[in-house]
Amino acid sequence: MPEVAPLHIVSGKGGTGKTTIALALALLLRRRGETLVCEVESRHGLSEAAGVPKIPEGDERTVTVAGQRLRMLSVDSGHALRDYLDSHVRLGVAGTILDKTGFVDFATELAPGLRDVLLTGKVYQAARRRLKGSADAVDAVVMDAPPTGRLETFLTAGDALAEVMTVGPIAPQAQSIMELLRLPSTQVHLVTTCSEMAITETLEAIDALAGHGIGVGAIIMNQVMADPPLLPPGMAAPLAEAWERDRAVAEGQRPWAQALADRLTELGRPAALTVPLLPDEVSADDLQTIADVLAESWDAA
Amino acid sequence: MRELFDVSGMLADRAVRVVVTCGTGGVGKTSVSAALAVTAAEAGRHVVLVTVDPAKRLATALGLAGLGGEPQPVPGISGGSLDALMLDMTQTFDDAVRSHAPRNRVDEVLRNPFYKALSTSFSGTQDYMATEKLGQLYERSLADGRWDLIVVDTPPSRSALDFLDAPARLDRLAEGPVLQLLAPSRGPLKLIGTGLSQVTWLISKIIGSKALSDLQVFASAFETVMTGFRRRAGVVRTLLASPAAAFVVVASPRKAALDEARFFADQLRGRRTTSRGVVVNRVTPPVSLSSGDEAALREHPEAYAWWRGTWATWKAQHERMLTALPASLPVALAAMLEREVTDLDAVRELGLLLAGGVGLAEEHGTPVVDI
Repeated sequence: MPEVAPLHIVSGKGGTGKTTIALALALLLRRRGETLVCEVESRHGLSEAAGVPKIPEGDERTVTVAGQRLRMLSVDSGHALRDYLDSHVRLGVAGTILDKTGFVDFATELAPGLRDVLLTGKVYQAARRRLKGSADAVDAVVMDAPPTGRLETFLTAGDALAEVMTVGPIAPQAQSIMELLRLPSTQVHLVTTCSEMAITETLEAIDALAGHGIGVGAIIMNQVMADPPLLPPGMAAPLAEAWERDRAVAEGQRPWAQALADRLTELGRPAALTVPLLPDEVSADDLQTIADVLAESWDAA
Repeated sequence: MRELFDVSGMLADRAVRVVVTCGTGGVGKTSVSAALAVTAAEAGRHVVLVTVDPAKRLATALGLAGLGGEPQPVPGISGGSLDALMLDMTQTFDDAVRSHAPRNRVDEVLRNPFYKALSTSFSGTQDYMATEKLGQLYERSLADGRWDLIVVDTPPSRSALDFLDAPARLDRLAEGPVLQLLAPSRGPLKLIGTGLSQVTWLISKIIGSKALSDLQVFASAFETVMTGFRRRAGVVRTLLASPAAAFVVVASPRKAALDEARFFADQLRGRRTTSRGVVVNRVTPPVSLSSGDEAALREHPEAYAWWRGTWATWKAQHERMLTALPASLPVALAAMLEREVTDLDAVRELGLLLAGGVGLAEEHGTPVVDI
């Protein structure tokens, strides 16, 4: 299926900078072709991180980030279900009855996996635009996915849903979404920091995804603190203390970086990519810098 | 100088029976909760800490290495006492079903696929179960007097508000027309015969008839469970709206976290509850140099650039805090620690920083120590 655009799913523990990395990756891929970056029910986190106006839920816009034009899509399960019912079930006016009874809210909240399948389904459609001959076809799709704590449930929702809904029109769609997720061109990239919890979650996610036959792409070690440069002797205490703090933070990261490296070697996987800690809030220009850092080793990983 | 958030005063106030920490993911909320609990306990209070998903080493330090669903005493605390427990969402929900549902229906509910989805992946369940657990602990503390302070670390969420909204969301779900239509015991709606059959027909067309019958079983059984939940949620709602509850907003000096903190403080006011203040965690402290030291450091360009970098970081953080946080919200700053908070000593160190009274000055020279 060469017409299906490669799907890059970016996840990581909360606070590790996965949205930043998803944006930087989209900028990198944009250097090679049309790229769509999407968020799934993340309340405008992507547009905020990119410094562009909020994308209304369910909408797609073309935005300019650090001088590059990107397509940005905000996926929301309520909109996705209404679209789905309109195009697949052909309920006509009956559909408004369902809406009035609160079925849409109810179904997206409670039917096991339905909400996640609807979200992935929208991204699935975007990856297949070239196949459908759409004018807005893209060459790559980047998804800012839920954090690793929820990733396994999110990506395998199609399997869970198919178990509950053995008949009806939703089950086959859930199956085809699972097929897309298992294509070799679909990869999950995991963002981590050098801390116990983030590394532990990352290693667990690698195992879990492998168990489901979903491909893991790059492991990105983000916010890595470098050793501070040596101070001249005789500096006053506050400076020496600040230096010692940075040094201790850098040293504290090392065993976790090593644990990750060891495990990746064991698994026969490429080494993690390293993105240094930026001094402060990440700006749009910083996103290009991170894209450059990723570019250096992306193809090898 | 912005008003200082007097953390030790709050913890010493015997009228405060519950401290709830709120904030977005990645700001160190779990560490701050542990630090508040340990500090209060060592100041003589009898504390129980409800924690959510701590790092493994912190869980071990809190005596929660094994099954931590029930309060366990934390070893090595002097002064008062500290018990800790971990929130297990599915377990709490299953227990609630066992205690609230009619005995002959318990297994049917626990096996139902819609119940499983609700208890494991419904986005509001974890928040709701934190409420349920808080209610249980509060009732127990009133009954046996074992604790005089409950510290609740709220589940990680996209918004700090999710914790407060959870009871209302589950109520809406239970009271929503779909469950009412499907639960056969509901009176008045049964009368809308044609409407009902049309809706169930439509739903079965979309989700299939097996899923529809699962849903009907779930709807009828869930009604009874919800009655028990609601009673406890009512107790918690009253508690959280009373002066016995203190909300602590936790943020980091990043813009997204600060904006969320302001949003949350605004929302709390609108709900007749108030936050005691905001803790800004992991602040890069400013380091000012004497002119002699600065001149000496200039001779070492790399080290000089590093110092300028830390200063620029503090300055940017300081400006963001002043801009993002409303002037009326008391603030306490906690500097970034050298290490992860994974043992009791590091928890105490963070507690000392929180109680130490470092406020937010209007000028970016140095933070103000006010004890």
